[in-house]
Amino acid sequence: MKNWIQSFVLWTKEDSLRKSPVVAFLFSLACELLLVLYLFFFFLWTAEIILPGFISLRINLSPYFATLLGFTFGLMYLGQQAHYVFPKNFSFEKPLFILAILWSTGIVGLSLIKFPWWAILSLLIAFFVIIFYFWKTLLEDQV
Amino acid sequence: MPFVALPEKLLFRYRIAQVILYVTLFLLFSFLIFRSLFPIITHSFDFENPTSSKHDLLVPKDTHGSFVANGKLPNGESLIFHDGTSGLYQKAILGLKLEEKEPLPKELEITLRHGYAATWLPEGEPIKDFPAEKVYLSEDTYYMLRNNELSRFVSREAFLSRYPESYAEAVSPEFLNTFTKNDILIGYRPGLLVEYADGVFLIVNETDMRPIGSARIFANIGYRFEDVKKVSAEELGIYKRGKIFLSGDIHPNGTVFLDTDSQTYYIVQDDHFHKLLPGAYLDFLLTQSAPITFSQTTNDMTASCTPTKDTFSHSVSCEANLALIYDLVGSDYEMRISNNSEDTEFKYYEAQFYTAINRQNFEFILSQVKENFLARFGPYLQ
Repeated sequence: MKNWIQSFVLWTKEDSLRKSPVVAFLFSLACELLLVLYLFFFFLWTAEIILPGFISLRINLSPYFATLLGFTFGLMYLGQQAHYVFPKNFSFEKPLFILAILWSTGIVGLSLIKFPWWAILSLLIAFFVIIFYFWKTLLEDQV
Repeated sequence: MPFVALPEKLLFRYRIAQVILYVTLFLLFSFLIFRSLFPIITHSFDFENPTSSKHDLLVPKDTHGSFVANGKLPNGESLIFHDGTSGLYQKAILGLKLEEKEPLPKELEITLRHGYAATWLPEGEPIKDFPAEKVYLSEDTYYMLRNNELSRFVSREAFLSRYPESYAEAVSPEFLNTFTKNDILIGYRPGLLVEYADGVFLIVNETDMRPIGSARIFANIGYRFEDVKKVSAEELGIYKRGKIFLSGDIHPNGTVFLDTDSQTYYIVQDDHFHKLLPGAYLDFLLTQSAPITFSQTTNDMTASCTPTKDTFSHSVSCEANLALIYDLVGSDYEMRISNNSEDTEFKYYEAQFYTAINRQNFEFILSQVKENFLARFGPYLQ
């Protein structure tokens, strides 16, 4: 595994990588795959929040999410090395932004049902701190 | 548009690749959703690590009721697994792995039954009367004389869960002083369901209670919410809380069953299934809770298969068609591995239950979805 990662890192340092149309082709396709995998993950997550256990009893979402994160960081790294903007047309337009806010509010709200007030407060603070830093990292990477 | 600018000549190929990607993902996600609706449930037992908490199956027993944790199956004996499941399954694929040095068994049969595990317990002597202990009433407190020692009932309701009011003999405190009193508190009759706060508990013996895993398990093991008695913290406090009661667990002592074929009542007592003869005791028990119904005829129906050698591993497996038994009443599958012509030692057993793909199951899954939804949001919708 370590050798495999080292080979990957060395490969990304090669100059030919930046000029290769095949790499650009595969990178672009991988970004599309990642986007769809995220959408499916959000679908499963929503179903799990609404009907607890319905998904998690059948599919373990943790390895799925870990793979998604690994895939995301791998592509981000590759994009940086090859001087691709990751993803190039990534932007939150207003309707999408409102939809994301509504969805997040719904998911967080449903997750906190029946928790004591102090737990709700702690979870919300932790949630917003994580979101803030995640967002900051994502935006900084795009610059 | 591609995420990264591509040369003009690659754009057409990119479109084709996009179509292939989306069609593949659509098929993959459809398959995953389909499998979520009609799942394959896999349960296993590792004889090399019998104490592991990862097992879905409990330690198997032999025909004498002794636990067999080492995987040994002597000639002519049986290994009996119990699996609590709540789905409607069309088939089961059952597999057994052996040590490399161990020859594959030649004649082996796996037989499955579907029902309540308690109803397959060995039949005991018929029961007609109340338990033999004497009970007394003195100054509004009920006592039981057991082994020549006097124990107090934790409450009047606990007494009434075991005996009718008239059963207690009214005596003076002086009379009771002639016996040795102990600190043991007598609670509700084992086999009864009690409720405190949000939890439902099953009294499994004089000192232990077990919480019921979920509403689905509660219904799956044959109980009714109408039979749950509300109790106080003091009444519940005399019991030790045991592990969660699940679908595959055997009903405890005191559970009453009714064979709907012969209208015969039975009671579970000391690992035996006793016939309950008509009389005051049976009438009293029926006022306490409704019996769990089962059918003796369908209870003995079986599905079976003969394991054969697998291609890629040192193991045997077979596919059992569950069409005859899958929708029978009961929360337990008994899997009996037997008919071996020589001593064998297994190292791993796995049972895969395939959910039947039909309208009945689809409606069952939808009802589960509705039940889960109402359990979660019901109070907010009223």
